[in-house]
Amino acid sequence: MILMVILLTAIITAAGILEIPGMVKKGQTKEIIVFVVIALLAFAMGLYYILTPHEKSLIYYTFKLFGLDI
Amino acid sequence: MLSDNKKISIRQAIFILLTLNYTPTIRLIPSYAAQRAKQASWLSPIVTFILLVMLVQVWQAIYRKYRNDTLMEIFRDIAGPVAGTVILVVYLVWMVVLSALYVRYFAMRLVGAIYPNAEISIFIISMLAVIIYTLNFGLPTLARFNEVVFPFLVFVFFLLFLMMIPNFRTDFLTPVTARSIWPIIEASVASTGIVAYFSFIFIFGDRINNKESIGKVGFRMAVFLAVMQIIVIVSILCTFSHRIAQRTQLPYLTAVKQINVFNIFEKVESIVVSIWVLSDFMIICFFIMCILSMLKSFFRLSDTRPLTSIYVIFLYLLSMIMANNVFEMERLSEKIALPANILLGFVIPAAMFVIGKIRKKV
Repeated sequence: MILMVILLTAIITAAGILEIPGMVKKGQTKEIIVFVVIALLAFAMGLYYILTPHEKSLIYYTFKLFGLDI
Repeated sequence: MLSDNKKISIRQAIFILLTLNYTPTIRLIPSYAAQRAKQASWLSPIVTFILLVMLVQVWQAIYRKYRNDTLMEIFRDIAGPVAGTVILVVYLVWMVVLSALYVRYFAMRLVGAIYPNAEISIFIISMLAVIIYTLNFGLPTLARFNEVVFPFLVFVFFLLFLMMIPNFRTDFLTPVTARSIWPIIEASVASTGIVAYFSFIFIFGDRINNKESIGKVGFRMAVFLAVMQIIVIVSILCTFSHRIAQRTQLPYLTAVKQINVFNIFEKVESIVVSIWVLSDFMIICFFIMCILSMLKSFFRLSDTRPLTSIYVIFLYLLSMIMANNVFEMERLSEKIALPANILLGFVIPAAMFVIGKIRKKV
């Protein structure tokens, strides 16, 4: 599990290392902010996926939210 | 003739739409329609055809005024910045859900159809790696690639139909009476929900040329889609009858498995799987492009290309936590996705057209 978290962190960091320097060079501040927000969301979802492997799905919660039977 | 090499023609945009309609059409429409309209379900695409022609006319009228604008700019102008932005946030969230749903469907279908017990991550990661590479080349390259894929897809589709004909029992298509009208309308929800993606191509409307031909090209598209949907439903009904069609998970694949022409052509289901993969590739690329275009519009970004890789990582993780099994995804498609598609693809554009007329903006 810890290895998976390290792998997730490494993949997201690698994407950042590949893309962010180009955006910094072009002065694309807004693009960097959007990139970081998506990266944080991806990291949060990745943690949820790795740490709670037998948890209920998003579809289950969506149906509960709308009061529908699954 | 294209005036800008970063743009595509309306014909190329429609071709993309036709390719990406293929997968959901054969996955969802036959069983959904058979459950509701039984043996009359093959008539349900006619209702969709009428609605789609009306939608094409709505977009044609909108684009007479907004010649080089995207769906986002049009909605903001017609509904006002606040209401327009709220509507567009709903579109963005829905695009994210659809993209994750199709990523997951792609892998689940491969596992369900030909690779049982395989790990779905292998298929998802392979597909997403190809998608990151392709999206770096932009929309025109994708459109040109699709111009190669689409004729192959159409050829295979009609060839399979011809090879299925010897197994057909046309008495499974009747009786159709006046009592079938309401079930046919109910059954048309599936086909209408899928062709609603037509509106989504205008998310990158600024990158589509000759939009003055939306009406003409759109009508041909509506005819083609109606014929294709009728053929899919007829192939399945005539092979199995509606009783089996409504209970089978992948009825089209099962119908193709029955093909045996003079004991020479058999086990041709691998062809269906290959065109599924091509269609899935197009549909996932399409939704990622829509999402990146919407992000570009929301935050006034100059370039979205650097966001592709991180969004694809996000998409992978979202698709993994989205569902635990294929039944949950099917329930989502039937109960939420189809009504949501109709709302966002048909109802909101029509409402925008009416509001635009009242406010004298269209």
